[in-house]
Amino acid sequence: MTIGRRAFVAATLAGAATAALPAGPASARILPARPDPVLLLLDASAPAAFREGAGSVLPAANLLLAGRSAGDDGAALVDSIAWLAARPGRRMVGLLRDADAVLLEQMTRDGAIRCLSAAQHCQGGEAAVQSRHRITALASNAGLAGALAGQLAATGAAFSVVSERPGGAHGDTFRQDIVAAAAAQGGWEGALGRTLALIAAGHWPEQTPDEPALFTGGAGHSGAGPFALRSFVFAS
Amino acid sequence: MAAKYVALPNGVSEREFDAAIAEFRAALGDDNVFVEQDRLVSYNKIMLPVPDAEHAPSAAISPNSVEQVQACVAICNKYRVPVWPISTGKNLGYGSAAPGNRGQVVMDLRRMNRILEVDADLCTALVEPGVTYQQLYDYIHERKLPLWLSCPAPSAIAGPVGNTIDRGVGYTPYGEHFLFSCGMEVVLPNGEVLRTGMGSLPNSNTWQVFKWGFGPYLDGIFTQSNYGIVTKLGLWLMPAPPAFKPFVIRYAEEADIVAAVETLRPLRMANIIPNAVVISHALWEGGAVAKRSDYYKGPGSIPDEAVQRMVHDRNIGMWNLYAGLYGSPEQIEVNWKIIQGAVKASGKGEILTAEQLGHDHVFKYRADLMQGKMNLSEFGLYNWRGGGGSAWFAPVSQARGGEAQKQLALAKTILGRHGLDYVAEFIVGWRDMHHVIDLLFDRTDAAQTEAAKVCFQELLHEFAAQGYGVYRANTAVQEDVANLYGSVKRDVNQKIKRALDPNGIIAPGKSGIWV
Repeated sequence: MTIGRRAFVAATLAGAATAALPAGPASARILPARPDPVLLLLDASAPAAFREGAGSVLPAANLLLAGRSAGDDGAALVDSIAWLAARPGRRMVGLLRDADAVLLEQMTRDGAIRCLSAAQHCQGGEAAVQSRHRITALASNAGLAGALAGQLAATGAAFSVVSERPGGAHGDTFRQDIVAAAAAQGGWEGALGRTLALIAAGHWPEQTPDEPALFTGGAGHSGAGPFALRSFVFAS
Repeated sequence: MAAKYVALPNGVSEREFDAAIAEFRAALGDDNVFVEQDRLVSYNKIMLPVPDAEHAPSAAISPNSVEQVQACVAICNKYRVPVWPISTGKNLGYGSAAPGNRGQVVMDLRRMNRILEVDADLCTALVEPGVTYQQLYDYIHERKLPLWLSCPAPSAIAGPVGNTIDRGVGYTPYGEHFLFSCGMEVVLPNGEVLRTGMGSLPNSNTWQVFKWGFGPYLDGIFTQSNYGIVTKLGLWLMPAPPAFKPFVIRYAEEADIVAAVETLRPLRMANIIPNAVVISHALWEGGAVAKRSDYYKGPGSIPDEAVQRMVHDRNIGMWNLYAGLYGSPEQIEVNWKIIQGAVKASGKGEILTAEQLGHDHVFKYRADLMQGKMNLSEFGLYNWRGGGGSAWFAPVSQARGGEAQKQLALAKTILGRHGLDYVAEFIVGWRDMHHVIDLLFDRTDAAQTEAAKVCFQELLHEFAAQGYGVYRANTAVQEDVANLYGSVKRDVNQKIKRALDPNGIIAPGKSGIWV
């Protein structure tokens, strides 16, 4: 990822049009296609359902594609953080591959930025059958783990969802029963996109963070290929 | 769990911590003291095979001046609150920004990000701990100064102070970073400010040019330690050479590591090849740009056959030796002939240059690092397996082919027991090599995380049994590594700690050093 190179595509979620942004100072590069205070930062290979789910709540959000497949090479991450930190009240919702997400997390260590949700979503490797989801339980995403587990249960495929509080003592996780939800449009990816968009929009009520929990269910393979993604919502 | 805080410092009550936090806020302002969960998440993100909870901070504080650091130290002494100082906190496979022990307060020095001086004649700089390599690089280029940096692989987002005092390395002729530092300013645990070397002399203008000063040379005790908080560091910068010629020597077989090291060592020791050379294994080379599942989806470590397939598909070597020549075109021409001759005489390896590989992504990022250009390509390794687990195991080796082969075999045997891949490179100094192995694992997979934890312990102890020690260690294994270096060293370290920091407020447990 060559940080000196700046080239990315911005678009509104509502429209199909894309616009190449002009070169300029870093803070000015994400000129919102619309003056919406929300940015959707997605890996170019992220599931379309996530984007559509988020778009159903935030149709005017700005969209930025990251990852090598978008020809971005890291610059989008740098600029998205600069955009987020530049003005209070901005939000960023995203789904990135591991390498970019690790890098982005490192950049959010800034007094102006708060984490409203963070989670890992993996499938493949040694535990090949199961999809695995690990959620940082915060007041702002209370209920996310159970909701996601419900959506995963609706697919019938094997899964686990772990919910952990920051600083939570090791070993205090307990199993929870899962209530399979009615399958949402776009599956669990669509539901996740929609939920994170609601969190970003301030329409997801803050509550006491979820208790540390482990949800498991389903059997067999979802049919999806291996993936390792991270979802997040950051706020300034 | 504490009712009000994510965690509490060991031995500090909630009431005492309330009082300490109130004083931190008075000293630094509300905006620079964080106790809320949503602001502490980024200080608790680790990649190690242990629970995040073991490294949960109780708070983070962010001073922006030496005086504010001193004020914080006074508060810490008053309430016995331990602080874990970080500069930019990008030490990912070594523990990131999270404190070494649960409940410690992270002292985030990112706001102390002033470039205090760059002298283009003497090629020196004086910087604060929050300065990033990108910032210093931009400063130099905006002023068109004929200077080069030496940076580690996470370049842009990391910083020279943190990297140097953790004894990190880069890839230019100035790649042994501590060796090319000159002069420190340190806030001691009692609040006094020490300037090392010539910096203690009033009106000295030689602080950044002469390292030793008078009497014992102290800078070393402030690296990988907890004896003070480094608030300024002098650096020697490399004069931009008139010409630079990067190249790679690709070796086809794993056993060729012997020929690679034996060919390289005389050239490196004679400074014909002046930079910190990298010999990158195929899984590091390919892993930065490929996914494991493209080559192997079965159980256990990736088989050698799959690695061979990747070598073939991606047209890379099983070992890839990256080096550069620096100097005038005439010097480079002479040295280039010597190198070609040495490689030919060894009967192994294929030399390729920028003219042949200029468009190759990996060659380009390696060439960038060898000239101190900012680059984040190596983060691609985190997509190799996915799942966010990374722990660097980095034993030191003699720069001998036989030693490299011995360490390679030992590492692969241990990693193989636990189903982990040998993703590694050798960084070659004048007489030593840092054998850097990235244990990549999936933190969402509990069994694999446990395997990585056990594997790391076996690596530490089985390498130590052969006389090999690491040059740096992550925050989860500080005690284990300190024990391996023996009780006398631990005792001396502790005596210094007790003399300088009797209340044990600066990074207790760093490098296994406690009061």
